[in-house]
Amino acid sequence: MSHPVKVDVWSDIACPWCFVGKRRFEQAVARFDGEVEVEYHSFELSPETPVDYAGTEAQFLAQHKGLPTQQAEQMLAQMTELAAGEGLAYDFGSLQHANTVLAHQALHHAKAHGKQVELKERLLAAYFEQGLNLNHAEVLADLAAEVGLDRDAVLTDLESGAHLPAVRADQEQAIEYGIGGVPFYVFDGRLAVSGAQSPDVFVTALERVAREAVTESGQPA
Amino acid sequence: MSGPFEMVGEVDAPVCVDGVCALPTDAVEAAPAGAGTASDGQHT
Repeated sequence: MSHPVKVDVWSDIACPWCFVGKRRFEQAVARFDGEVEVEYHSFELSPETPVDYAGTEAQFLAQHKGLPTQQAEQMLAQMTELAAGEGLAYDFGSLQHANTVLAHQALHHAKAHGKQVELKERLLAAYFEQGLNLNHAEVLADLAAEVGLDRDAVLTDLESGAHLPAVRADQEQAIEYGIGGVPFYVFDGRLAVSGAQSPDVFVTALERVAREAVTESGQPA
Repeated sequence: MSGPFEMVGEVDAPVCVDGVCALPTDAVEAAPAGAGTASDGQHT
């Protein structure tokens, strides 16, 4: 392989399918005979979400969609079961619904320091499995420090909004591309996969762009 | 939806849109957890 396959991923922290999709994508990367470079891009599913929403996840869903709370709870139970099939321990009972704009800024800080993939994993686990409150810069800075980032530098950037323009640029690009839902994966800027698809689909995309890159470069396969 | 890209895979794979995530209810009922690729129902 002459160069890694670049995969741009639009996703949100507060997106259960994004964590499931991440696991399925990782299975594909493990099967793929080549290098893969992943870059995450910001996508806010619910930018209107208030900071420190006091209700449960089921209540948020019920209010947001006008559903009976019992039906919302049933959906969350089904999502929990499905995530468990991917080895994820979703805990919607302890989940603290978050406005994710600060988390996205933390991910851009991490990208600038070569730790974005690590922080993405840490934030998803903190949100869906550990019930941490990702609304606040202090919590995000603590988690960033866990993956090797400078806590004070993260905090400074979050408080100043240094990476907010990068978040908005990602969102504008998503609109330009017509991305309406996440996760959304773009392979070498040519092929795209929408949703938490099976590892087979991701492998197909990886192998195809790798094969086409070899053909275009004139190098032997 | 695809913009300038060629789409690969299922067209109705589960995604989250506007704070709500499609839940493959049928797949959950019919197959082992984690097998879902259909889109039906909702979840945030």
